[in-house]
Amino acid sequence: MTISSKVLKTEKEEDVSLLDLPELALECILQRLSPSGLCSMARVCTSLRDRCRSDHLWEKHMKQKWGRVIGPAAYREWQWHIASRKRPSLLKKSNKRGLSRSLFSVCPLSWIRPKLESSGEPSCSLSVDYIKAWYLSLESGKLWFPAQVYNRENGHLGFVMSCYDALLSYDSCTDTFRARYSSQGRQTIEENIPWHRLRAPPIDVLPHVLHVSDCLNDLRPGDHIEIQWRNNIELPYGASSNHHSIPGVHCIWLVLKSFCICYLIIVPTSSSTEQIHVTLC
Amino acid sequence: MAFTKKVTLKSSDGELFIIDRAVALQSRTIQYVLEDTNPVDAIIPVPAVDARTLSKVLEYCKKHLIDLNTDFEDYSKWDKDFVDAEVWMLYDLIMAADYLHIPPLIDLICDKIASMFKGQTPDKIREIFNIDNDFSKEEEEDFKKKSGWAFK
Repeated sequence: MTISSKVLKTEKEEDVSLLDLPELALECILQRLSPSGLCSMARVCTSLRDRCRSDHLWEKHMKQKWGRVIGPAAYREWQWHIASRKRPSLLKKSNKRGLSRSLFSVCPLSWIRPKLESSGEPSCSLSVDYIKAWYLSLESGKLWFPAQVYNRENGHLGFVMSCYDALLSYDSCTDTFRARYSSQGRQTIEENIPWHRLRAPPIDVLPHVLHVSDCLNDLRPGDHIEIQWRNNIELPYGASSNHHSIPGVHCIWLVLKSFCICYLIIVPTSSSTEQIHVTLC
Repeated sequence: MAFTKKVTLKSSDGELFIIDRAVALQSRTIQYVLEDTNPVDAIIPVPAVDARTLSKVLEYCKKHLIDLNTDFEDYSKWDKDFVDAEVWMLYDLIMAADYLHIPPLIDLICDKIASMFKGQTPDKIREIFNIDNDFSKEEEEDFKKKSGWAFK
């Protein structure tokens, strides 16, 4: 407690402000706020604004809400998104300063804050509230991020893990997603996709890039594998994947049958309780 | 050695509180004082906390010591009533709990204060928690422009 706040307190208790609370207590309170609560608090005064945009407060919310569906590809999409938003301001500045800024945006450092604020450009705030900005761009649906969507037959035997690659945008009003993907050469949109039909791609490769599995030689009887096949390199979002409840040999045969246009991805999985015996010949 | 089980605390405004040692030990600050000096019948000054706040803090410490066997629901009901207080009282309590180092009490009051923010506008938050608006007109305008999208 500071001396001034003590004096204030004895004179008139009602005059004590939230900002006079001990650092630890104020921090504890902010940690308990929801994302919308943090946003409201950030508009109360400059001191709370600075506190409420700190990355460590937002990391928890980011993991909690988005952790399951956000993979490395979605992260790159976000980096690209902020880089493209910064471009206009870079044109106005010297190249040297522009470079240092884009570096800071990747690794936010508290000591550059005063410098960025003094320049008074709205885009600069992205550098100091990196995770907050990322969270809000996902929450608002402005950011279309890559992920995989389980097909509508999700849950039916034989389609348990069948899914397609798409770009996703969140709709906070309905708590569902829109998916944008290319099917038979046409841009297609699926709406109202619930959370449980989404997952981050298990392997960090683009949908149209061939992934050469490096663990084929290590496969043993009893291993669980996931096979994804893609039917056309020009239709990157027309891919599907299948976690077989059918023997692995059968799936591999499917891939080999249409050898020229299919790719094979094998992912060892440990979560499934199914006993799948893989025989490779 | 029954007399060692009592401890006397002196508030900032000079009031004395004679309490069980076990109750006082819930404050880590007092625990350290007792461990360091082991004052038998001595008075431990608590210069940062006034009598009204200290009695409330001790009420919490007594309850949480005696009712260790009470089931969770009863406990949370009591806690809820305990923090159903004016904002300035919560401020006093949290500062006392911080000074006396009683983590569960800090948690309890933080929960309460955080819940008071729920669904409030920035204006209302300033009013309830006595905070000055120090944003410039330009910054306020900027907020209005950006408020096109909000959480559901």
